[in-house]
Amino acid sequence: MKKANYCIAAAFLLLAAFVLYSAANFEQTLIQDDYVGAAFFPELLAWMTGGLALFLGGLTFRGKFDGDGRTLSDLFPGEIRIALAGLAVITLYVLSLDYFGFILATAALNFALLLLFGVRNPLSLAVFPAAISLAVYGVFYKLLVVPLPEGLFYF
Amino acid sequence: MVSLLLDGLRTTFSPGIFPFLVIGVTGGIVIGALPGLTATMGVAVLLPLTFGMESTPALVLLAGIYIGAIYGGSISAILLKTPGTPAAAATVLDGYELARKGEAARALSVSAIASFTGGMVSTVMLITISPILANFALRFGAPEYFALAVFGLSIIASISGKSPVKGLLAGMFGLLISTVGLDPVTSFPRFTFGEMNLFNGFAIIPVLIGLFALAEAFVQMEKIFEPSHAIETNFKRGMISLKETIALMPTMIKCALIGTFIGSIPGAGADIAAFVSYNEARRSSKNGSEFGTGCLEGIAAPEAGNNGVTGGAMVPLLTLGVPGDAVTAILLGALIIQGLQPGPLLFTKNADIVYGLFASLFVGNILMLIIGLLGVRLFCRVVELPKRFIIPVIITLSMVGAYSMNNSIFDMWVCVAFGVIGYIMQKADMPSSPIILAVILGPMAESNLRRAVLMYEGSYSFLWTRPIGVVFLALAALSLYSSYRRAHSS
Repeated sequence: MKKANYCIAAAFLLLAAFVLYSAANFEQTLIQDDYVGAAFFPELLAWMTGGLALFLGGLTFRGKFDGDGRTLSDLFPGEIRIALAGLAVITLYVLSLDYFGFILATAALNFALLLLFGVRNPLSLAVFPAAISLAVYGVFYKLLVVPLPEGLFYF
Repeated sequence: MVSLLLDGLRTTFSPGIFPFLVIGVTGGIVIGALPGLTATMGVAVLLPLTFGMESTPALVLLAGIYIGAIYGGSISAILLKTPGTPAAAATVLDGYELARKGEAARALSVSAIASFTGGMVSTVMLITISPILANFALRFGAPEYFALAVFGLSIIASISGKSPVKGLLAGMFGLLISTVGLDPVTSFPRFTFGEMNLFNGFAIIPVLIGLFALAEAFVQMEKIFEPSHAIETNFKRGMISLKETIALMPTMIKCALIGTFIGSIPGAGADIAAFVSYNEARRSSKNGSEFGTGCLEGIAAPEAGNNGVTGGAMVPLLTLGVPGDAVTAILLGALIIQGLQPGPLLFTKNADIVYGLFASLFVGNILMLIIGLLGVRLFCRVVELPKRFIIPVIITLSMVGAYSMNNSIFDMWVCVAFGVIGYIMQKADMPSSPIILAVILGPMAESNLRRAVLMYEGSYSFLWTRPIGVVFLALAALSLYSSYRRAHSS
């Protein structure tokens, strides 16, 4: 967990530095900016973030923080591959929505996720994705008139 | 007030509202009963359903999910030894033990009755306290609102468990996210990188769905092949008797009041209320030594306490516009989406909606009791639903929710990105709730701070010369200190 804490502290220090760098280029657009311009609040937050990140790093270095003995491999076990595959499926889903539309893309998403989760029953693989896709489409688009992505086939 | 409440009751029972309450409470119980699906996640995932609705049915539906899910968490706690929601963690101690003795129906019925008592007591308190507090809040100016936002943000430390520093860092991240977009005073684009979709900042719904629903879905994916630890449900004995219910009533009312009080303090949620109630019941009980062995009081106390929070947490939300916990943070988002501005003026401008919500909480708690008692055996089946079919549904609803707010594929990418961020944060023991709280309170803090500084011509003396503001800032400091002490001692 120590390494994870150092990574968090480093990430937040980088974030604070980036915010300070960007905010330095914010233009003054009003006379009242003398007191509190567009950069005022982000800069204040960046200094506080940097301070807290250093505090976290310091606490970890002194061994006063999270001594639970967990390593990075405990935090990210082999099963993480399933989550990463799930993320890949979702990414492909979002990319495909503009082309295939909601119904087809959502059915494909559910089909792929079921396969990933070890479902092999042909009936489940056929019925469940279609049912979920059509049910969500019916409730949101038809019943509640909430817009959904339309692809090349207009559904 | 009574006539407004009667109007609210009439609205609640109207054909356009009542079915949504039934759906909300039932759906909430089912969501709460499923291990891994919290009340926060349920409200976040189903929030998009309300986009096309009128304000009252939308809020009634979400409130129904909230109260249903807090009770529903006890079902899997009792039957699976796995609390459906963090709020039901204390219920495991006696609930599961009683179920193992073959008295699952008794345990579930005590849980339903205690949850009902907790919900009703807290709703009464909400109705009586809220208008007084709202009236008081009408005196607030920019310095007071800034101090209030700081107080609201200070609760981040108390909802960060054993790592207040990480929680505060998460809060800072949320505050920085809230600065993305056009500056509220000068309209200068900040951190937009020329991307038009970012000119209005990050939409809150995709962010919260990503952090709460999608991130949890990723975590559950890792556990997809883990075996379930369900015990064989046994209904040897029926529900509890009227005599036993009456005997439990003082404990339930006391714990409901504890829950309401804890709920009304921003940041102290249902999980804390449940454990405080459990400890208090054990301390004051004649049968304290029986706690942990399947004692009825040990189920009634945490359940009355955690449902007591539902009404309590709405007090700061409705009167001050400050969410009491993660669920009410989402409800705050729902109110804003509906074009309502939570705060003292809500009680004068939209009294019909506020009292409609109050009345629906009353009726919702009664429904929860009825559905809870009638559906005991059915809900025992719910906990056995396989995750491999639930997770795809959650992901589908998450994506639809992210898209439908602005009809934007960009928002879906935001949702996925925050899903990954939330997943990594869970791995790193960083709480996600502070981000949402900060994204919501950030604009309030920034605009009121800048307004106050301008009012005082560049001076910061408003920090110590405005009494109400001083009280809020002192409370914020106290909250931070006590969280640090608690984390340090544990």
